[in-house]
Amino acid sequence: MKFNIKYLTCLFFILIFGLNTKANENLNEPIKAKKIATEMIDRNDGNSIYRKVELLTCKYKTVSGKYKAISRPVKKIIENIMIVTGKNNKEEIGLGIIIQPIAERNMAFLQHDYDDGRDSDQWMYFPAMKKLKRIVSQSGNSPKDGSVFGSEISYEDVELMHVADYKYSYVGSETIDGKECEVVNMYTTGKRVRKSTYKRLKVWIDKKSKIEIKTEKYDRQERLSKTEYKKNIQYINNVWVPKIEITVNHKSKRMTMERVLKLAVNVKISKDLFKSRALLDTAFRENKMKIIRSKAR
Amino acid sequence: MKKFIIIFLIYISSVNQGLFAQEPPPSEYNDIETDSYSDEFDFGSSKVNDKKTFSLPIQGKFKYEAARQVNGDNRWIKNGPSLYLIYDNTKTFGQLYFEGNTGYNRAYRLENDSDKTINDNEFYYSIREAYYKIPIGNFTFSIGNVINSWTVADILSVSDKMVIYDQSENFFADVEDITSGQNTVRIDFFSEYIKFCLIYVPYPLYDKIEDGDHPYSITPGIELEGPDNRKMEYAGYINLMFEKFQIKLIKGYVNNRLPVIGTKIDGTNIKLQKEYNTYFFTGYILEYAYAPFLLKNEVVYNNNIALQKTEKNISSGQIESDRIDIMTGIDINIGNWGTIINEHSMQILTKKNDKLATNRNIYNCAISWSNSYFSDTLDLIASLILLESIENRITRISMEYALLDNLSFKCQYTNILINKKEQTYNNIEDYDRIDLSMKYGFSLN
Repeated sequence: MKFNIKYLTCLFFILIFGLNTKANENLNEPIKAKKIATEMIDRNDGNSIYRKVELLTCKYKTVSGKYKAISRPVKKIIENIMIVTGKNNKEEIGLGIIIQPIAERNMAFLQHDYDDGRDSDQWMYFPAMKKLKRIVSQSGNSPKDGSVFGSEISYEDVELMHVADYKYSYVGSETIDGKECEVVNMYTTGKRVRKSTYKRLKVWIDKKSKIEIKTEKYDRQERLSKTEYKKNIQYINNVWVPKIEITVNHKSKRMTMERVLKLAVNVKISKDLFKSRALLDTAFRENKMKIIRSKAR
Repeated sequence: MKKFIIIFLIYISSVNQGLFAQEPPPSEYNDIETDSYSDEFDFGSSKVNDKKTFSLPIQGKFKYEAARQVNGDNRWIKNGPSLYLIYDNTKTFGQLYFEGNTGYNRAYRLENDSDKTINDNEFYYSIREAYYKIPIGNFTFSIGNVINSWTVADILSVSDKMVIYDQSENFFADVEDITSGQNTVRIDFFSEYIKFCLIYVPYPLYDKIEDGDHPYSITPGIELEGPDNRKMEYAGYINLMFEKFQIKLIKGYVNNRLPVIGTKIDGTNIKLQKEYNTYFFTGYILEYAYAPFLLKNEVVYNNNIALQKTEKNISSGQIESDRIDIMTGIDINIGNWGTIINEHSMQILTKKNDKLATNRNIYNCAISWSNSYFSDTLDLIASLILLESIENRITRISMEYALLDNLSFKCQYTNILINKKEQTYNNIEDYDRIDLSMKYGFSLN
């Protein structure tokens, strides 16, 4: 076989092209990381969801690498419906009703989360006082450190995420719970910095479902503050849904498990359920909720 | 051969670029349904029993309360158990609702109070609400004993004209323990931004007050008679709702809830009696959310409201007068540090009259802080109410701890300091009190 100059030139350019691709991958890591994170943030979580969840919160200690409860778990059972709304379906409205503990049964809350930086609107109905009360959120210019139902999940943890609020870097690939994940660092940036207690999030994103299987949250001093886990992921009505979410607060040594007891995704939910009438008028609300509950499994 | 090598190298480069990469279509990708977290986490045993063999739409609580006055007479005010029940049955034909309590208070027997005081207060029951409600389209119709509350205030409401209060427990109990409803026919209309409500009360009730030998009597040693007649009431409001702001315009025709004390000549005896009269009110209630603040304002104009008249320091009936009531308040959310509520109220007489028992404008102020700890198992509340001046103050501190999901204990201390020269509030000067209670909740649903 004789190599002539033409074939050598072709070979040379093909090899350079291949090597360049590898080099470009390294230079484009933030872009790749951002792309992966964007897929996670913008993934389809359904247009509507009904959940009956159990929240367990307790103190823990680690025994042989396992997180073990060392206090009686405080239990809350909550029924929750949510729809996406607004421009580009980026806003959420949710209605929640407390079922347990008995002392708080039938307390209901309504929350509207906006995508454009506006403070969320919250109303709470106190059945003992027969009163609908507007709950004002914390200042929009500081982190929302209040906790959701006394759990280790803070209001900041359940806020809507925006791609522009972070800078990204790619860490690599890893397998967790049998799932192949891309690992990405997300650094809070811009306006988000003063609104967040976290400086960095390290996120393991499942390649298939785009769900963040594990998230490590680091505070402004780069100390590990919380770790969140999502487990028991199921594909229901074209939507990936984790049925168990666990939040471990390393500072307070407390952990919360949110376990879905009943679920329905992309189910038809009347918008009337997201108005103040649904909080004040139990008869009206229950008539509509019965239909939704019948579709949950 | 050469062509084969070139094609092979092109293919290798393309694979590197991922040009031929394909995602398999999403499938039923289900994790194992069982507790897949248990390898890493142990939350103890927690089973949710969703299926019950026996179910009734009833919930309630057993309560044991003990309250001791620690100043003045130093005596028991409460000591005994009570049962609180809620029946809430919602079907397609509407909602049947009942809420009430019954109990036994042996404090009066322990303190050897008069037979009448023991008989009137030892065993008690109250119906807080009992109604039928049905939603039809944008309307909801209610009939029965209903609490008609529309205030935005938490402590110093000036607008809740139709709610019945147990005034004897006003400084000590939570709102849910001292309020009750009236027999009502009510229509509510709901739309996107507007809600309106019409209320008719054919047979009104009045605030509960104590007289005679009761330790909280407003006329110590004297039984009050009446009222002889009751005039029906009606009211309504329009509520306009916007994103951060809402305003209610209210108007009604009601009775004064607190009695005016008048005299009645019965043969040769002069007796004291409770007097009530109707009056019109008009006003507005507004609320504006500006994180982290919630601004609240209520203004009510009372036209010819019955006020207490005195002659030579003796309560002697009523004078009708116009009065403007104003409440301004702010709620502040301070995140993990809790919530602060600050409210100010004023009663402004449009025309002063020397015969009025309180011939002046009255200003009150309240500030309250509350927070929950340890996953909402521990609730702390501290509040301070100033009655017209800093020298007349009511301080209250309470702590409630949930030992189990349905068992909680509460401890509360109320301290009352009144300026000795202040005659209006002298009667409550010695009511300092410690309250202890245990609550056990249950549900048959």
